[in-house]
Amino acid sequence: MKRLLLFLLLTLPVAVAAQNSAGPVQPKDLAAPRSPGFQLIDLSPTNIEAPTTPKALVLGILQTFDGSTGWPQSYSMETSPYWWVKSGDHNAYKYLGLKTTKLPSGALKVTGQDIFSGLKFASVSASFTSKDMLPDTASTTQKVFSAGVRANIIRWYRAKHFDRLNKAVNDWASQPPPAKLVLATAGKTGDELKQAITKYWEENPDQLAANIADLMTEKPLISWDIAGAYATYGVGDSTWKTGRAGVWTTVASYIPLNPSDKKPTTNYLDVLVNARYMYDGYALSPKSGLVKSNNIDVGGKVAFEFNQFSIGYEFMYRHYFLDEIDEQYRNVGVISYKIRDGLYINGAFGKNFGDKHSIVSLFGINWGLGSGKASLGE
Amino acid sequence: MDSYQVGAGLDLVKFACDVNTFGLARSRALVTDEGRTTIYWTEVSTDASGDITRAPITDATTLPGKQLLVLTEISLAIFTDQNQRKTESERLTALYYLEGGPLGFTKFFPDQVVPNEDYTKVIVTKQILLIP
Repeated sequence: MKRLLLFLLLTLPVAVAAQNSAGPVQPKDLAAPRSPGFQLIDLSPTNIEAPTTPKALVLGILQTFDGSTGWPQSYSMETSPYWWVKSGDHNAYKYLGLKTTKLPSGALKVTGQDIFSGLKFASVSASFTSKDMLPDTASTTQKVFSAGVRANIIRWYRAKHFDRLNKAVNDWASQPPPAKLVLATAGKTGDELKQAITKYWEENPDQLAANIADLMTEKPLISWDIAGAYATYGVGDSTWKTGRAGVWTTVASYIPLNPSDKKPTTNYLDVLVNARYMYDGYALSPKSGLVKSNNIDVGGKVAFEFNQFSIGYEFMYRHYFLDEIDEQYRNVGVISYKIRDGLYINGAFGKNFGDKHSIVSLFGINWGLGSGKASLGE
Repeated sequence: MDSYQVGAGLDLVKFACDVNTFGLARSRALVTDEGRTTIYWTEVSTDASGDITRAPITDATTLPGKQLLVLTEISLAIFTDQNQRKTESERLTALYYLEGGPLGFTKFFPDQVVPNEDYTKVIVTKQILLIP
């Protein structure tokens, strides 16, 4: 606890300063690093997660509070190549998941929701950490590099969400810039141009766009994701060996608990089902010690989200193809509470894979650092 | 300021605007006199792509000496992460096309791209002088 308080005292002012300099960070901005590479090596607080809205570039920092240093040991980078493709057909409908058709006039008309819209934002990632990945008697850490891919295959929203989003986007698009703004900015450059535009923005706050942004935080009723990752361990000064490789899939349902017609839903019952195939180059066999193995994980997660508070339970079963290793289980309770905008407390408690002494006990704080996300725990 | 030779014929001069962003976009183009006191023609985008599709302005006889002004208003508020918005504000593009003059189809690039402090809003402007 002393280390936690010390870390908070040292880093909180930095986090606050970072937020002030870059504008207020909203709660919806914040998330723990969820790189597939971190999930493969069981570094993420939860093993079962579904992606959020696509982003061009996400930098992640994970502070594992394991007593080694006060400095983050884990870093990740994730990017969606489609975002960077030079193309003339990028538009908001593609990001929002609205399927369109082109009218004879050339205008786009929304015809429904595009449940496959997340697929084109498939991401690639790389991550680095130092962690004791060898289940032997030594407690030395290994450098771990991992690479991963992740894609959302299906994202299906309730009809109410689609109707509200479509209406809000139509309303926004039907209010083109006024001619007086075009005339007021013509011929101006530099500060003079900025003043003219700022005056317009101040006199015309864009509430409709804010409403659309709120709608975008709503979760889909059904979501299906796949991911894969490969991790290599630095087991000596200059020796790198395959540690783990895996592919997994998650089907999630976010059932709204306050399905208002007028306000974006904020309370959910989350039900997630997950399956994972994994090769582990360093599994622990009671008979043979460290062995290469293949295993399959199957599990699920149930959670309630109530505005500031969420509480959930995660269960996973692991079957090894090697008969000499018994099946294993992971039972973890996860809680998260938003203290105020931009500041979260997380906790995870329970039994991890491995022997009977493998206990998960995570306690952490999340905040936003520019584009990065941070979590403190363990 | 860029210019486009419209000539003096009766061919229709046409304009198109192609905005390339994942943000919400809406545009207005107009033709005004040099003193910007009178608007002779205006066209707007009709969806959230901000595009204006090959809109005929008029024939070239009345256009020389006038200015074509285009402004696109983009909202990046739908991106929750500020760095995401900053990245998109630097990546977004707009292209403007004029045709019907002696030189035919001509492409133009934006003059100014102005984001606000938190990159939730961006204004893109273009000004083209129409010459005989």
